[in-house]
Amino acid sequence: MDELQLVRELGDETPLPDQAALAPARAAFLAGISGRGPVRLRKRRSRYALVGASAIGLAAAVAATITLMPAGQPATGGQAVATAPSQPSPSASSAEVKPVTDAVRLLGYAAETARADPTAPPRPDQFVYTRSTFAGGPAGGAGEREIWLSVDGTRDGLLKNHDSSTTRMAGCKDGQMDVFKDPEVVLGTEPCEPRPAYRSDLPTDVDGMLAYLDANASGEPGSVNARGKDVLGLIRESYLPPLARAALYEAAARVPGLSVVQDARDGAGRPGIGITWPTPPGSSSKATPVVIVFDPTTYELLGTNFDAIAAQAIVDQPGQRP
Amino acid sequence: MTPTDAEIIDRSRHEPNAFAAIFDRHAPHIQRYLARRLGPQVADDLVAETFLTAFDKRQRYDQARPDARPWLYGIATNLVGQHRRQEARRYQARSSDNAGQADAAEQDHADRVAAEVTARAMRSMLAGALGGLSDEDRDVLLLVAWEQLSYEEVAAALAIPVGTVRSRLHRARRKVRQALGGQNPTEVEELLNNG
Repeated sequence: MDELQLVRELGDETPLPDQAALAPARAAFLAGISGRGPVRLRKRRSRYALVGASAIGLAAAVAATITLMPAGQPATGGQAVATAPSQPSPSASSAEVKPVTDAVRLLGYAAETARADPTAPPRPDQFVYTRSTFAGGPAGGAGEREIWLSVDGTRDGLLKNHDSSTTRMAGCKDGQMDVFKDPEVVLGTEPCEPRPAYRSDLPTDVDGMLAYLDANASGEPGSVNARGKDVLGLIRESYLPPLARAALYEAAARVPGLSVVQDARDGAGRPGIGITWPTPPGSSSKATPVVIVFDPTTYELLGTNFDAIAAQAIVDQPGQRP
Repeated sequence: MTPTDAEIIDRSRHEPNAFAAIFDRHAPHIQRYLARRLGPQVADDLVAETFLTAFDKRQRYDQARPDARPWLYGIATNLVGQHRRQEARRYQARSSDNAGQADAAEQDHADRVAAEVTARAMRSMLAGALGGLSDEDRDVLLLVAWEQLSYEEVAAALAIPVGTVRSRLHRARRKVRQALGGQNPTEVEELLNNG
């Protein structure tokens, strides 16, 4: 043993991030390249930051109102249907139409929708399949990616990009995972902890979820921007049990300073209602704001303004589509 | 068949979105490298910047290199260079971690706890030693020790001759050894494993 080995062990304390943790950076990267075009035109690049709504976005959010359907009621011909609610829920407290202008209420509806999800829990040997599309820019057309992540984190998953290139997502079996450059080139193994795509480990009540978010915060305590990234990391490409997902939305609603974006669109251009958060001090004025977008009538998660969740399902094998 | 990084980068000259595959292949290791040097939050911000910088430089990518990872490490290392003060603070913070622990060790005579404290002290000394290296020497040492790049890959990443990699690594190791001050490395190793 020598000093090189000692230095190495100091580095071992930092884990390899998973896809969920990298999702915000990936969205920022894709937004960055779509804004560039085939030839680099600007010398000065805008620094990446996840920031809140611009002044214009906020003004629009205040001025605009949307029509809210009672939860679970399908929209018919654009008219609100006054129906007596079958069970009490925050969105059904009144049959009258009302605008959703505050983030707490919007996230409350999203939590209700999540809680009502009848999907049965997956088996540990299954995979969470997510197909997402990201917005095209001047640089090229819209892209799509598909990912299969192991429910219990011990099996190898798969990532397919829009260009059909594939990446193996190493599972963690018996505390070891393959380290590779390409699917065919395995460099060796390294110690790991399984990262389940089905997050049955998460708390199902709002206080527990807040404690979890605090304990696993990626940024400084109290950083709204970091909290936004953490919440996004949990809901993209991993699958939360209905109660945990509801708790996450309710915990997110406790973040101070959230605002509603009425005319939001997800990365696939689908219209929705969005949540965004305040600009961290010192951000570049050119940084692109992130908006979490929900379906305006069902309050299901659609995605973000960078990318859209086109489909999500439980399947038996990596590569299998629902 | 899976295309090489060089093939993907070549294609991305005309089809920019193809570059997303480079992100998916290498972002986890680049993020971890940045997190090791600058902490997780800065790493999250800089990983996108690393790949955007790489994207901007893709026209000049050396097509003779099928694996893009050393090139990406070079770009990430440049970005670390713009955050030297942040990195220095990180080593400083880790090297002072130990200050409050000595008292605890004196009060608690359990051998195991003492060993843990010693291991922590050793980590602190190591962090201090890393902070004391020159930027050039530290870049080489950490690319070899943490990222397990070969000398040739470090040379490619930093655009320096292989001989320079060897001499910088030699000097960095000697300085770290000196900073650990006569501790028997084997003994230290055992403490670290136990701690």
